[in-house]
Amino acid sequence: MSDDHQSPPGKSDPLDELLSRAKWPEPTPSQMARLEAAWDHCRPAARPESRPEPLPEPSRRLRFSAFSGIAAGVVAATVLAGLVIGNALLRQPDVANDVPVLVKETLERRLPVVEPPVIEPSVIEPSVPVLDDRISRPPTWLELALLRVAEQRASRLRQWRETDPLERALTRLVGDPHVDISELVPPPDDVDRFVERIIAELPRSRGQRRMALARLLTTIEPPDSLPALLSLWSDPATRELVEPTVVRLADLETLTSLLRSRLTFADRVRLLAAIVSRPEIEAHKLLVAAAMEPQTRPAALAVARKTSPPTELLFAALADENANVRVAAALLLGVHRDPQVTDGLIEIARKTPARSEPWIALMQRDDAAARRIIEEARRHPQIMVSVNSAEATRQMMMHPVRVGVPL
Amino acid sequence: MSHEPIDARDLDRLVREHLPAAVRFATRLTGHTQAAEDIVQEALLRVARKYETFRGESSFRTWLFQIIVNVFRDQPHRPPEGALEPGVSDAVPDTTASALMAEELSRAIADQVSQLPPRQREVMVLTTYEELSITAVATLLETTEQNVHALLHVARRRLREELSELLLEKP
Repeated sequence: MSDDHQSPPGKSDPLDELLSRAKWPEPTPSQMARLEAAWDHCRPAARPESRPEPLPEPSRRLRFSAFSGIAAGVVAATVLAGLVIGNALLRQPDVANDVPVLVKETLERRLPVVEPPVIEPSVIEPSVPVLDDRISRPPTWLELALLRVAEQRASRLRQWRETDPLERALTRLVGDPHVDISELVPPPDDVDRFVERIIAELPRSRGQRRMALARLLTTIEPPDSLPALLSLWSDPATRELVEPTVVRLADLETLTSLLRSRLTFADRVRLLAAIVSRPEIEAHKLLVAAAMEPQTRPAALAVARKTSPPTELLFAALADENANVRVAAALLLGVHRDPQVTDGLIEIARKTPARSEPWIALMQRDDAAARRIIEEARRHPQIMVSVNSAEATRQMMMHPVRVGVPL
Repeated sequence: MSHEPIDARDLDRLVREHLPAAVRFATRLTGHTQAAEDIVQEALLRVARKYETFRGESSFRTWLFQIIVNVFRDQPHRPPEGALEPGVSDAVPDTTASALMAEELSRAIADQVSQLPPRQREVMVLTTYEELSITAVATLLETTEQNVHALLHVARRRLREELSELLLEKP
């Protein structure tokens, strides 16, 4: 049909010929199966059948035939059963053949492990078909049309890459990592859409593109991007890049669970140091909590040694009602770089010599005043017990026994 | 022509018979197999709910397509209209170069049709691909024949412009 044809009457419209070539995907068997199942689920039930008509009364002849047939069948079945049972009773068991033969198959070797092919999602450039110039005839109408289709697609892709804000930003970042990233971020009205695109692209991105997406996300720091940032944090390739943003946006509970995840010592120290740099006091309490657990204690001590946390917090923890908190605080005070910490510990030890925690801390200190007070305490029989107990506790905390590890 | 409400058993038979055609129609309307499946699924629900209103004034196919068009119009968030995803077929593919290029052309044209504005797309698909008459399309879309002619004219003009580079005179 040509409702607006521009060709003369009697001649077909080229548009109709072109439109007749359009092809859409055919329904797949799985698609049809799903739809049929959906129809089975929702279709109306058929109405109940009307009362069935009674069966016709069988004639006398038919009744007799039926009866005799049934009787014959019963007799035959009885005879057959008798033969089978009698045969079974008379037959001698063949002992030799009764023994089951076990067939054992063992695999000579393991099947090779086949790694699935790594699919690199990327924007695939459509190949532009090239006319073979060995063909001696000019291209047909169809061949020219096909070439134009491929060129149109390639040109649309190029245009999209040049105009789409995210693609432009990624192209520039991948090409020049030192580019001023703030220039690549769109104006506030378009930022939400930009961030949505970044988050949608992240799962299928790899390599430099993924790094570029991570950089953009950490520059914009949208408040609801934490799940995406956490997934980037769990990837060792992008962890260090996004960690400062994660530490800024996540709550302490989330950060505690990150600390407990499988990390290298260096990663854990870096994360914990970033956490305790947060202004709230609870961040430093997290340092004490980390010192309480064997998994995170070495990192906590390293951070305390490096960052010198507030001593008033640690001295307050030294008086906590929870013994584990007191011991953790003592260990942290023991590695604190402030020399005045020794004076504070000596004062507490003199006032309450029976307490082990100040002695634990003093034993960790590496200065002459601490060594002197410990020597003095060892010469006192009453205080010596506390000092020895403190030493045992300190050794246990610094070198915890790990189950399953040979001594 | 029967004006009695359809029986549930007959309905079941008719739905199964027309289901592949319904999916094809929805695919042409949406340009997307997943969206087409969603639309047909919703249409089946509506068929089950109001089959008793079908009294045979039109063919069952027309009635079913009318429901599909209504579902298509009711979609609040249409999938992004872009290139069709490649079709999956059970047929053994012909991988010769010319066949692949022809396939590419066919998809490109289908792409253009499925990207027409919705009303133009409905009229284009129903007349050109479902081969319904103008009168039947007007009834299905609950509009006038003049309106169908006008939409078809505008749709064809638009396609002629979009496909102009492909419309070359044959040598």
